[in-house]
Amino acid sequence: MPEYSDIELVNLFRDANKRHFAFNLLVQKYQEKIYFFVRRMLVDHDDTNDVVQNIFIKLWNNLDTFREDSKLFTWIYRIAVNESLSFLRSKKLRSFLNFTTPEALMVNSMADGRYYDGDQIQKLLQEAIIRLPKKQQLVFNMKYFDGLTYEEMSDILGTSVGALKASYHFAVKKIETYVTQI
Amino acid sequence: MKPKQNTNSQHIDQKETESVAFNALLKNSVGFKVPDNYFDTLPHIIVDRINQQNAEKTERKRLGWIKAPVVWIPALSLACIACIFTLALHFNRAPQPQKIDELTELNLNYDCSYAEEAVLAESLTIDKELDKDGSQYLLSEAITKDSDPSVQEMTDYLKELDIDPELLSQN
Repeated sequence: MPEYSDIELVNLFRDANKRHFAFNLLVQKYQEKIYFFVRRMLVDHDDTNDVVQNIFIKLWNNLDTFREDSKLFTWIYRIAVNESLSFLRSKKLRSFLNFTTPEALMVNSMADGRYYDGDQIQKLLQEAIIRLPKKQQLVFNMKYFDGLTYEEMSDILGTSVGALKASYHFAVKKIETYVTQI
Repeated sequence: MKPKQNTNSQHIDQKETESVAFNALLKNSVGFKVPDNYFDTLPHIIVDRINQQNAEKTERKRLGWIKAPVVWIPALSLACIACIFTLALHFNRAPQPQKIDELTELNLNYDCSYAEEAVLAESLTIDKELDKDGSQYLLSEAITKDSDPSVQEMTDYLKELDIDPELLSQN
């Protein structure tokens, strides 16, 4: 199967006869990246599955309107960020009604072991990341796990590079403090 | 001075080592499991959902004309007018005298028949009483004799009713 660039895939998608073919390639190209990006935010596999499907359906519905003034993966990441944050907001409301917190639910999800097999240290680190403010968590995940540059993150999040560097610095400090204290 | 510098550099080295170890630990800390063949089936699941979404859109387009204001506003107006007309007819209906006459007629008939029965029962009772004490002879004798009232008796009767007897002589 030949490798297509993002621009080629977008052009293929705009051809009605090749739309499904192009979309399939897009999904295969980005599904793992998007899945783990969302998974690190949501922790639970079932929640992640729902959100990832919604992200790609939004991609299908709106790719025609993609203006190519940013990179395609930046655009997809932006959709993923928005979907993840709005899911977390709705989860926060639901957990409030059940007298618990989303963070507690996420930690429990890791603890039950169905879709998590990290050791104790890994669980500890993941708990520390979960406890970060959501924006900081995003920045940390994107920088550390996804290897994005500050410029790319600035494009996705609409935040200045300086603010992102500060955010990342504080996130690392908080994680270190949490891990060493326990 | 040198010992201080050595302490400082040792401190920095230690910090860097910890940082490197920490980073290494972080890099490896994933631990998230994914169901088997998840990424093989995900594209098909997404495509199925998209097809379902398109089918729903087509159905909504097909029936969308029903929701068009051009259609439902006149339909709603006609329905309102029909309701108002029906209610107006219902409340403005004239009374039906036939039914009233029927009811009255029935009542009269009932009263008449009841009166006839009452008279019949009374006469039977009288006959029985007469039979008991043998006064039948007296009664029959009374009937055969002058049973019509006299003029004086009639006049007295009318005076009792406060009717002027002279009215009877007027034509």
